[in-house]
Amino acid sequence: MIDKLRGYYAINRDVLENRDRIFLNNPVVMQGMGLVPIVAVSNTLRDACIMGLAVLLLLTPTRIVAAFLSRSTHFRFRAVAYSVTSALIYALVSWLIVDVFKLPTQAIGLYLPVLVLEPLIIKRYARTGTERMGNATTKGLITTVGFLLVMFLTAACRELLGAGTFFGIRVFANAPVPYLYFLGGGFIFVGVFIALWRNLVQIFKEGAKKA
Amino acid sequence: MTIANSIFTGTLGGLILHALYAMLSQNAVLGRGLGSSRMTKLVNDEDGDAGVFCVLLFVVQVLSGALSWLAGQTVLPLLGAARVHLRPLVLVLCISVVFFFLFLVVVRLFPTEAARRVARQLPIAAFNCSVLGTLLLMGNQSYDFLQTLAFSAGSAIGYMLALLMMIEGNRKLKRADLPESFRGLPSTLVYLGILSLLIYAFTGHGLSV
Repeated sequence: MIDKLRGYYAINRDVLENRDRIFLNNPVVMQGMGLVPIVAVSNTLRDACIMGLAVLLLLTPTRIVAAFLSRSTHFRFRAVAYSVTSALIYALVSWLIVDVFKLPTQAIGLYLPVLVLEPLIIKRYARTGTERMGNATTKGLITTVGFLLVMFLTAACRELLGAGTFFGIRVFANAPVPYLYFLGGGFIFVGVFIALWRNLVQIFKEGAKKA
Repeated sequence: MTIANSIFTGTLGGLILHALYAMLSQNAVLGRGLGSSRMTKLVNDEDGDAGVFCVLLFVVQVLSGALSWLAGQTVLPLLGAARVHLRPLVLVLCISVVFFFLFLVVVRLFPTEAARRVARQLPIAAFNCSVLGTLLLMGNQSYDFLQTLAFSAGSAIGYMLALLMMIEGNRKLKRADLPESFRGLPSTLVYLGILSLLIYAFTGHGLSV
């Protein structure tokens, strides 16, 4: 299976390195984007689900609308177009999460509205060229999947090791590594997680070269 | 002793305490993780524009803090129940106004090359999770105008101090014998985590094992 993947990578290397946002070019692992929701919020799977839903509803629509608006915006002011678009779409997302789905957002607190200016959502403004709508949709969706994958993996590990529970169900009588539940522990865990992920990518690439 | 007492019991003392509170126990990055993505980028920035970023962050934070206080007194009450959802939009608009104002000032006052350098950092400093997070925090605390300014200034200075510690730590980490996969972002995050736990312990918290 891994050999097949390596062979596929060796043939389609350029396309994959440019487009893949899940393993090879994961936005969190390779560019350090989306750290606030991952480090500060994702210490339980329940909070990660709410945050993940918000990112899912916010990222791609913001990217599409902002890509459209950026066509007639001067490069220097593109950050305003992306940020205001993100804040407008956030109003709708917040209404859906709080008033329609009635999800408990108290534990997330200010981290939900802070998503509006998260580099993961608005970082595209820094690139000089304008983005085509189709491209914005595809890249928005792939980036979302890559982000959610890292967020759920870190949330599951941190909840299990930091609180001794899994989705609120007690697994260990005492939390094995309680400091992982806190912000500082989150930074350390994500740092180690990223190092391991990058190591895997390196091993995969070297294997593909030999293949 | 009498002078110290009068400072810390008067208005000025209150403001200094608000600034210290924002700088240390409510530190945007180390206490709340706000602006950490941007910080990890700045720490590894080879162009050395971190100083320009810090100055801009301070100005944007204080000016948008003042504007957001005004918006909180005038615009937000008019929105009724919808203000929960629209508050980030109002705050982003405040930041945008400050962004346009500073952009005009920079273009008018600075020579071309310096203006280009500052203008490149301006959107990064203005549209930052740390700025928005601080504005949201201050809105929740119902501060008066002067307290808002003090908290904004303290928060920006706290971000600068954290950035300075990170840059210095990163400089030493670059010389250390680290495994290849830990170089750059992972080692920066581990160091940030240690500093964050330090702030956590410093503010009187402990682990319930």
